[in-house]
Amino acid sequence: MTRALILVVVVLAVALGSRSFLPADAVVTGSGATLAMGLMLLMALLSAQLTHALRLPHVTAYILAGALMGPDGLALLTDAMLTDLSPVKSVAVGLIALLAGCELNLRALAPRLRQIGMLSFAGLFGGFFLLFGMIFALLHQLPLGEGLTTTHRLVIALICANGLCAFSPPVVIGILTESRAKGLLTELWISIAVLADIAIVLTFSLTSALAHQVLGDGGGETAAGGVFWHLFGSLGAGALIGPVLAFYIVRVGRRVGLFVFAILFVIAQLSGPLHLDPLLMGLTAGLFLENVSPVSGEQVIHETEVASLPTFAIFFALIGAEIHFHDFFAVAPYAVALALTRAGGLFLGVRIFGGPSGADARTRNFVPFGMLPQAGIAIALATAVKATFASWGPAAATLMLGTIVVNELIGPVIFRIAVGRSGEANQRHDLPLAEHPAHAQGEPETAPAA
Amino acid sequence: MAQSDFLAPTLALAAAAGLAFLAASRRVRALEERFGLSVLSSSGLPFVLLGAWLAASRVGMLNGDVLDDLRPAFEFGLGWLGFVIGARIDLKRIDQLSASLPSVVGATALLPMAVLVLVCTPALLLLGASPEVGLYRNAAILAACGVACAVPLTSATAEPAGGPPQMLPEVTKLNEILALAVLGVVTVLYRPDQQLTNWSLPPSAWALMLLGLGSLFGVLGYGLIRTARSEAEEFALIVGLVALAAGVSGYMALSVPVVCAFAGATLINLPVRDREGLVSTLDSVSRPLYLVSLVIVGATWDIGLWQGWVLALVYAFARLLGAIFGGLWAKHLEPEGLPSRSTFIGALIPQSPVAVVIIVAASTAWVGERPDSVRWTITAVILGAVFVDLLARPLHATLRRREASP
Repeated sequence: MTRALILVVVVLAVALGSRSFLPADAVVTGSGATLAMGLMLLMALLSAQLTHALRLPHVTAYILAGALMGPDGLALLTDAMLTDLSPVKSVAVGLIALLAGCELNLRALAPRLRQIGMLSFAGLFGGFFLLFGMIFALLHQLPLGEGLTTTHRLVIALICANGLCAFSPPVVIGILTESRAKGLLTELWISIAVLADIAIVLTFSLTSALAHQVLGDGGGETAAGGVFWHLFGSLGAGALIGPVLAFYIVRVGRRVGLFVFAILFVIAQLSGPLHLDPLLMGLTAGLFLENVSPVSGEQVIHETEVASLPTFAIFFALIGAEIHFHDFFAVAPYAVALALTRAGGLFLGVRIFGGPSGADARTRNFVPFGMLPQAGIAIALATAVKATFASWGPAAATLMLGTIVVNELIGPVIFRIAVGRSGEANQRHDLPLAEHPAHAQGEPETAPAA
Repeated sequence: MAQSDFLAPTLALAAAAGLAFLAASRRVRALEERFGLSVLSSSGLPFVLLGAWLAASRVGMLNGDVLDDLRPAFEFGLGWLGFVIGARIDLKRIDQLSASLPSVVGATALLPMAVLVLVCTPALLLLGASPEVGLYRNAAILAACGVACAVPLTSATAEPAGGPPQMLPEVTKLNEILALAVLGVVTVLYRPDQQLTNWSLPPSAWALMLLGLGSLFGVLGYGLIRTARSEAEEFALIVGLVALAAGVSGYMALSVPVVCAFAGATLINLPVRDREGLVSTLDSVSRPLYLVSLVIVGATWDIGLWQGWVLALVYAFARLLGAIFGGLWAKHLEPEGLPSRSTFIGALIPQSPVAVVIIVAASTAWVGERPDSVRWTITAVILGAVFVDLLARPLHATLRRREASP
């Protein structure tokens, strides 16, 4: 821990020193983003080493490191640098989804699909119901709701509640991976997070279309058509990418991690202009690899392990760096209230409506913990609200982002504790690369997770 | 830039990435070894040409905006390649070699450099380069590129079991480092306008800064990988280290590959447990990265300037001349551990991939508007490698015949 702390100080000193070379308002093409990438990656990994002793999830450490260096923290990273690094985020989302798809063996899950579906629905319904009521009530208190009709308030509550229901497959998978968890609950957490995310993306597009119709700004038809293309186009593209990956792994079989990374870069860049979802494309490709191709998902996970650690670290650090604390503090009490409401809704929903799923009481107690963390998808939806609805979108997005900040900082910690208590942590013994000692390792300060 | 503008270049770069992975395969490497070709003129040239085609005005996929967007990745690539070059320098191994190593390095580096400067400077002048704008800088960079040579891994250059340690690989590695050192000196001497920056330092202080930063990143890297708990974490930390080193040096207008090479050399000569494994991990990424970088190099390459073609011929001639003189002089010193004269000279002829790294790093480090002569030098180094490779085999055969004849 001492060594990591000294290294953090050295890295920060180097970054602060080099940033003083140019005036604060100078923008450097290239070097600025490279510097930001190195700084974020090193700080994220070192923070994870520091918080390892405190038993905090690495994901939380990455987010906190990003927040510390971001524009609202030490300002070592500027908004321009973060924008330049945005492709990394899309690549990370694609990689996370691909790995999630590789984890899901549909044949093994088939007997439990009904249970997964019902538990997902129960959590989403409970969360949505309470959030909708709470936001509608808050709109009477907040300046955002001033002068709006009841219909307008209902629509805003609908959109915000829908967006805030989103879970976070990246965080869930990240924490389960670092906890080396394996078991029935682990499969449930991953499956629910992924399936619910698809449902959220789909319903959000529908509620957006409805909002356009109700508020009369004429974007409804486009939005409805967009949903169809977004969903099925992404699934189709993923179904094409899966065989390409399988072919490469079977026929070439060298530098698989790098090849996967390159393909994900393409997915990331295609997704924007073609209005496709990197999450769905990656997920479909992963499902193909695990369930259809001769390649096993586990092989892909193993081969991409070296590339996935830096990608995840930068991704979560970027998310942290994008937290705008000024905006958060402006809505902090409401955001905390909404985060608590969401958590209450998820637990109540699974407890009340999860009964017919056939899951036992213990499972129903643990499942909602995997629904607590929020990150990328929720932020993307809040950003979409801001961009789509010019009159009330920015204020609503601030409220949503404030709630997401609470969930992205607290959610992983609570989830990590739940994973530990579920008895499924440290049950994985099939990660050879993680077992490999580092080349330069002498006597590691902190022992590898048992 | 509109998002749709990004689609085509992305697909093109993805195709390049796919090709790079295939070109990095053992079969392609075996072909290169068989025909004694350098990476650039075998698997590399198609990537350069692909980049040039994509950047052509009719296609216009890799335009200026896109190249700006790709600049962070390119800078990271330059840093990674520099780091790998530095990490190949093993001081313990150099200590085991014959005491005449410095003289051999001097002969094979300084003499060719002098030949290249003497031949290329008048050529640049005749082609219209101005002594006020970059003539000497370009000549120095061409000399640096010309010294970097690639050793073909044949049985003749491999280390014999039980025999004295072979000097040739270390000679070429040190020549690469010398070439980078020249690049470092050039970037220290030609700095951005100090009124635009908060720091105002003389060139000597910038030289110290360059060395200090390189060493600092090396020591930092050592500290970082000592904390790594797995190979995956170690790789992630090295990626972060190289990105930070490349970013900081680029931000401060220092040469990215030079700082990273110093960092790599410092790190690898600290008491690292598994040096070979670490170098192998670094190496596994460098070839695909180099080939993809060549696409971007191709995009900035102005192939249509006739002066570049003329300079390429002159440069290739000077390189061959320098390699022959340097090789003969080095053999004249009669050091232990050098292969036969023909093999040694033959090994000094193919151009190292480092030459392209140097010419591109020098080009991107140019302050202000770049004169045409900078574009000529890029053409000279790219085409020069091909010309030299074409001449290398017959020349090598001639040398061998002469050596064999009584």
